[in-house]
Amino acid sequence: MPRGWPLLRQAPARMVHNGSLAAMILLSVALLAGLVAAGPVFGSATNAGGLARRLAAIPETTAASLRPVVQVTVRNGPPAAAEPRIRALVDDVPFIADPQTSVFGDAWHLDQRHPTPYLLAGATRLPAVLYFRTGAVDGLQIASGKRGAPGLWVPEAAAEDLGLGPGSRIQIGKTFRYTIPSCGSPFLKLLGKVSGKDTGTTIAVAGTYRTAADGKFPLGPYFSRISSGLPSDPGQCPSTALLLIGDRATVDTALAAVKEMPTWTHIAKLTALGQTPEHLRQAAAAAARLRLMAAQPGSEVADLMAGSGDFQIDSGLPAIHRKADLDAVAARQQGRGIAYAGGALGLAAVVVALRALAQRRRRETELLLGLGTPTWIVVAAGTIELLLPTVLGAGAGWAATCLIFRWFGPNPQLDAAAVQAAGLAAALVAGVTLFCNAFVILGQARAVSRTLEGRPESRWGSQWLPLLTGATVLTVIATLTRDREQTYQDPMAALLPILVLACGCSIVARMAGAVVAEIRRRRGQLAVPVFSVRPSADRLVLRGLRRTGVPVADLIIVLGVGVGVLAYGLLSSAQVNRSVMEKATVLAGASSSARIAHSWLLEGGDGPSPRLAAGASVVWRGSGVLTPDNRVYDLLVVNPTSLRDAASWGSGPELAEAKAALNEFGQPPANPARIASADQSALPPIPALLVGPSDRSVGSTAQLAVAFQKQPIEIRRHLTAFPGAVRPTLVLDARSYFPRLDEEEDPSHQIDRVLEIQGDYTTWIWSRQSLKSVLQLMGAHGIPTQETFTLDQALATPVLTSGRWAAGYQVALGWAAAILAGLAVVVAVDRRVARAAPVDLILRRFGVRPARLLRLRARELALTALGALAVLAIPLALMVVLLPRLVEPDTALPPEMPVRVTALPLLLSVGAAIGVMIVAAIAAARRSASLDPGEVLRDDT
Amino acid sequence: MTPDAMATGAMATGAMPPDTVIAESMPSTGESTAGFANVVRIYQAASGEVHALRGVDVDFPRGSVTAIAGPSGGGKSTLLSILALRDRVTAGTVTLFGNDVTRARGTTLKALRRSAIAWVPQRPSHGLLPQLSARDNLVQIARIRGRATGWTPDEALELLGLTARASGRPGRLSGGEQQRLAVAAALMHAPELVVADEPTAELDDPNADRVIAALMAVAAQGTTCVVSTHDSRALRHLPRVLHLRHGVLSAERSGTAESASGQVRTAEAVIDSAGRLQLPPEALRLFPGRRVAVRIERGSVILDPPVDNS
Repeated sequence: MPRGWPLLRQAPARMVHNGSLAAMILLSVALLAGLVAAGPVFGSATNAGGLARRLAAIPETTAASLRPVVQVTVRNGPPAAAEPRIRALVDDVPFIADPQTSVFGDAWHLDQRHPTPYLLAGATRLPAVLYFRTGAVDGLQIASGKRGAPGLWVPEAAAEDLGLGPGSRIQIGKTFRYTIPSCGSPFLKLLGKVSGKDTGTTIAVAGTYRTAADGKFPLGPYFSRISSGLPSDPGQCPSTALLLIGDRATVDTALAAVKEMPTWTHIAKLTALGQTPEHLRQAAAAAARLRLMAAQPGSEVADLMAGSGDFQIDSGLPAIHRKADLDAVAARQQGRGIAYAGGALGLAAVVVALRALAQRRRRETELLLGLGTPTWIVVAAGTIELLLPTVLGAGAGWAATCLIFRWFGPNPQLDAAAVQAAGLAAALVAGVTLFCNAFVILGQARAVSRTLEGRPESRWGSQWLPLLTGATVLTVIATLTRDREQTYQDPMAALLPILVLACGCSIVARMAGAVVAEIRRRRGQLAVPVFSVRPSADRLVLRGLRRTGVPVADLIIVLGVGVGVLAYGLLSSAQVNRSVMEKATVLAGASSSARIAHSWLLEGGDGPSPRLAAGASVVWRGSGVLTPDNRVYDLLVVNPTSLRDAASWGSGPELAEAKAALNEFGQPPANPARIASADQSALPPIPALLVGPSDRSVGSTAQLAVAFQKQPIEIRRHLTAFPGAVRPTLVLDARSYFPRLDEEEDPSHQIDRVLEIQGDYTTWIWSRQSLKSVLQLMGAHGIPTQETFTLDQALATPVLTSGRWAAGYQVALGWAAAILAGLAVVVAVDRRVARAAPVDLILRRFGVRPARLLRLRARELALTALGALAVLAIPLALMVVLLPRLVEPDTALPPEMPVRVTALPLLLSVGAAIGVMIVAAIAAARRSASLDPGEVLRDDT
Repeated sequence: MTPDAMATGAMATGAMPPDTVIAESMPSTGESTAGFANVVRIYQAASGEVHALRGVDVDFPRGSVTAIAGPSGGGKSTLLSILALRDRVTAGTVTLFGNDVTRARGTTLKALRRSAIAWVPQRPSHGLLPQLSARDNLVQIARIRGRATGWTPDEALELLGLTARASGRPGRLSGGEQQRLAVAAALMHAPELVVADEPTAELDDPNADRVIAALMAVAAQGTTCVVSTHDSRALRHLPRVLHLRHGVLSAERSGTAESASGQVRTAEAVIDSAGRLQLPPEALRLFPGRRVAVRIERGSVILDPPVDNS
């Protein structure tokens, strides 16, 4: 471009001299780049964050097939030569570490003749299992003996009963001649035909270790962690076996001596480095390949296992990876709508900034085109001018997004690919901005050329409000009529607030303007003053200062929309976070819960109120059919007294009502035994709470059928939510319900028995304490936990998690809108001051002091802020009403999100409006003070 | 009105004797650079139609310097805008360099503006690029014009007394310096036509003289200059002055004339195509009753106050 070099040479640094405008462009480009770049980073961070939460929520007691581990189990094996190779195959799975090997005698399972492993000391024979695991001896809490001593470690209680101590000799082996009829019963000698030959060997006792109350379960965190992997009791008890623990050599020697059939396991878990979506994918793929190889005859694994009993490879990695992928998809879907809205808002900001730039550049464009400069040079100069702020803005937006996600996002470890994708998105924004700028300049050049040719400028843009209003009305109708479950998933959820606020503020501001104009007109017609008899000097001064070509109504609308989007974002976030917490509370029931096999394993478990630590309660879950309508309800059989302290009750009115409803159960029956033996038809119906949608009315009675038991119940209260009730549920008082059940067989076990017949009952310990405390409590009682669930796990539910993140995104969007609106107002006020400069100057020469001008401008800005808040009231109220339909996470989960307004978001928004006006007042004061009378009179401002 | 039309049309000389001789003080070649024929320009304003020009006939010979005078709102700026090809006529014909440009395409007008016409706006800052230094402004405009003749930027700066401010940006220059710079920018590389709106408005006497001298200098090289002005200094110095009132060219003065009674100022009034005549103010003062007796004697039209019959 030979002609234009001075213009083009100076263009790159041009914006450096354009303070406020350069800042506005830089900020708006940064905003757009940040919001667009947030897309890939949000997807990656939610993916990684969801994965991290999902992994953290899997208890170590869970089965290997559900955990992030790879475990090889070889029954009756493996061949000694194959063990190193199998270990190596597991270790080859990427991002897997901390391998642990275990070996224990398992003939009572693997041998069809079911020989019982035993420990014999003196005349006493106890069922006991030889056990080795990497680190097990180190994990024991030693009662007597010295760690490292040769021999086997024996439970303290058993050792006391048998009179054993360190250095004692015991006999171990397996027997076909003795059997155990039930848990806790002594060995009975088999009188029939013996199917095998007993084995035995003598071995030293290395020492004794402390156990839980059951006398078997080794105390200590090591064993609590691996409780699900410990051998079950060959003595028919629902607990772990009595373990004879030794080092590998000792256990191997003993197993060989007694001809035991060992079960060998090798397990390794996912490392911290592997807890990223990509690394997890690699680990899951390798684990899946290993499993596939094991299943193929002739493969290396199959060959290695030849001669062993059977083997299996368990890993939760593929399933966790699949679920993490689903979580990520859900999160992306939920974030997509807001991302679109953010992009639209950012783009609008950029276009507004570019238009402001074009307005300021119009004089130059007129000059250059008037000189006959080719249009492409004008466009090129404008594009080069914008390069610096655009590139800086895009870079700043990209960096800010990455940092914000790193500091406040779901996962501090950002995926490099996502960061790179975000960088590309920011670069794309820079390109789009430059293209838009070229387009705007081209449009302006066209308009200027039309003027130079004596043709009027086209004014097609004045019809935007009717178009905006039509689009908004259609969108509101679509929102009201759509499926309520589709919240956050479509762009409407985030676009609608912006549309409604922009359209509402514009209409209200124009209507208010029309009303004021009408009042003024009538005042003029009637010659009756409406506001005051004589306009004050201040009013006259203000009237002069207002004639600037930048209407106050526009400032009010811009500020109203910005503050409105912020208020909506804050309200939305507060509502969503509260709703998520309430829903998670309903989902979890309590801070932590653990499933156990039977409640009668607990102390005092032969009744409806087992003795537990404070803040814990037993909850029996099942299902029943309510007749005559034959509708299936979930059942929650609870102890109201202990449940009150154990369950989580959230902070909302729904769960507070549920807690209060526990009073409906009243006092427990004075004599349960008498009830159990009484004529059932003569007894009053059992009080019940009905949770969830139902046609049943309060006070109605019905028959509740659980298995083959039918009992009359009376609906005492109909609730919208109850802890643990995610479907229509009946809550019964265990103290009233269980005595009414038929007593069969073992009376002490009756509570679970009827439910057990039904087949789908579960017994849970709910606690307000941490899961660790619950597990310790169960461990102390020697009760293995079969499943655990916590409030954190409930909060980690993808739809709830992504709902919270989406709400956070909405808040960020709100602040961005408020900052942008604030910047636009400040720039407009600066422009107003510049345009009012001649009036300003004349007023000063008339003796109006600068302080008075500043005061008047500050008052006008305060009134503008008030006006913005006033025009905002109606559209914001509409959005508050629509809010639950737009943002409620997981609408299928109770309680339903109510329409609610909290003060803090509104106060913050008002504060933001005040802040903007203070900054604008300061900017106006500085601009006014910097005006040079010479420039003012030459109209060079 | 074309030069031929002016030569053959009836010339109302008012109080001037018929033997008046026009003393040409400018090197006009007689060749026309631009001409308006019955030019009308009507704007649509919020208050209704504004008739800015109502049938203007005028010709600007090559190498002439013409001042357009007249009250504010008289149509001076509109005339200059049309002349500089920055506006179009509602009716009438505009010829430029012998071509009718009334209906010319935008690209043609743009090419003419770039290559042949220099424009000095009323506010000098509107004629300067604020981001460039004074010298770069001149270089830039010269490069846009793409002509290798006339003054170089440094010569233009020196001629207008701006050498010391060559590196200053327009925002750093005083109003007068900006005005001189805008004139310098217009005179770069010898345009065919210079159209300047109030080029001496903010200048003191020496600088106003400098600007007028510069205009005269480029005119001497064949550039046609048309300036609007209220400045009496400029009106005194410029050889040809057209008065524009209410959108109508009312009078024309071209230098001085000699008669038998000595040196007298000569003025030409313009008769529009409808036969209407506007007298210059000094002639109009002779007719306080706004009535005139028209006599035609020996090829001259003599205007006298009517005889009071009462």
